[in-house]
Amino acid sequence: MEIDRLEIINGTMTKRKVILTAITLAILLAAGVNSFAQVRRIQMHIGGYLCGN
Amino acid sequence: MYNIQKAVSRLDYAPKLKEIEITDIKKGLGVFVPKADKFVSFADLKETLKKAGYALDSADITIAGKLVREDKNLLLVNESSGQKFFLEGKMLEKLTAAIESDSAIEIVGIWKTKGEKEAAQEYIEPQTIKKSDKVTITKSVSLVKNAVDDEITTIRFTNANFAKANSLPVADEVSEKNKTLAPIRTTSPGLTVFQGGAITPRLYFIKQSLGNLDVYRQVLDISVSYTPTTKLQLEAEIPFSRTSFDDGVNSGSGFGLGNVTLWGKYRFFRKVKTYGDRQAALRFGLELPTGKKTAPTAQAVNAPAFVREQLTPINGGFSPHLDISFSQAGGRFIFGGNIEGILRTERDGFRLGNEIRVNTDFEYVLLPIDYQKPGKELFLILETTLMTRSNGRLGGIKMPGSSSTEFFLSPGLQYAADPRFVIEGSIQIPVFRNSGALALRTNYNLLLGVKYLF
Repeated sequence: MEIDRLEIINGTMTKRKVILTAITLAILLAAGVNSFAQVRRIQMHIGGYLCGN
Repeated sequence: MYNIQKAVSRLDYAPKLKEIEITDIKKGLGVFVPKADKFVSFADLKETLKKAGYALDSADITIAGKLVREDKNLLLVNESSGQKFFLEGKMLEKLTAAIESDSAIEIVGIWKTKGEKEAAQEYIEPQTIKKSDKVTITKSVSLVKNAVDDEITTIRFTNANFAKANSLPVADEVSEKNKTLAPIRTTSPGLTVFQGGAITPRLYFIKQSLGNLDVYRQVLDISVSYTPTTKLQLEAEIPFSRTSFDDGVNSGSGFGLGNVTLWGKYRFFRKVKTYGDRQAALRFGLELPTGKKTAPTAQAVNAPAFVREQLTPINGGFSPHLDISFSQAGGRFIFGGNIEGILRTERDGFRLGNEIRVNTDFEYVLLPIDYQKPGKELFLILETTLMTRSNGRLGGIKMPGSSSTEFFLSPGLQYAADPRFVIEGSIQIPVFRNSGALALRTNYNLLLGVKYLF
């Protein structure tokens, strides 16, 4: 009985781990795709004395 | 620099203020990484800089997205925001010849907006295009800062950390730059920060004398300015003064509020070029009769009544000021000057004479000798003041011998500890004095102050 309970607990833990890992991977993938397409940098050529007021 | 940061940070797509950087003052370069999910607009960027008093000559954009062929147009679609960028230019055919539609690419190009309002479209004239088959696992702004690109040969910056000027496409050379500054005693025609301002507390330690009478003043002058429009600055100046005196027999002291002055400055002229500008402004001030007017009695100090009146924190009553100022900056040198006229009215029968002040200002960026990022600059300042004042009045009577003409030299230092924080000091020394028998003469005037921009 005790062994069965442990197996059930272990099984639940494994399932949780799998789900968590899948969610983490999905988030990472989504973040990666999202960050791929974007304006990465804007460089301005400004006329004026940039330290002045 | 803070003025530019603040102006750009107002844009919907701008990052945090501190992530907007000036990387090369000589070339007028500033960089930032916009928010990934927002539409960007060259026209809006140009407009916000114009309001702050600067001209956006051009802008380079680096963008990753999908190449799309729509009719005869080539477009780049930013998948984060959904914004479309039209590609154009002589080099376009050559650069895109080997790239299929729907390819993931990264472009560095010259950015423009064509059309207005709803019809506005963003255009890029590509300078380099590369295929981006690999997805870089990064997170918007902070990610880009630390991302390392696999194919750095076509894109000339690798670490997207824009702080390093030597990794930028244009700023290859070692550059120099300086930052927030204004003269110390001379009126600046500048407007400090558009839709922002400055708090400037200053401490003056002044010694004056007349015969056996020595006068020491410690003045705390707090100035708060705000610039609501592109050409107008408003300012309030509140002085608190402690005066002590010693005539060899008697001594004493007093403390009180001085006359509060309200200023309005209108900048009517401004021309900018790369690493330089010229500007001029007209400033009008109203000195209000708020100061303490009680003078020491004849028993307290052995001096004529008109001299004793000069021991109060005020020089008279309600007094209009008119000031015209000019400055020119180029490279490490800044030159400026102003002429100020003060018309004084009496308060309880006393006033000093009407006054004209001519100030000149010469500034040089002394340190650092060679530097990449703004901050920690030391400015060497030399100012001159020619002040001439007519005879004053007491009890409604003109007081002969109270006029004065003095010329001062004021060497000073200004240290820009931060884009928003400046420490300054200046010592005013008389070179020439021609004062009447009733006018206190200035022996020295030491100024220590800080300036905080907001």
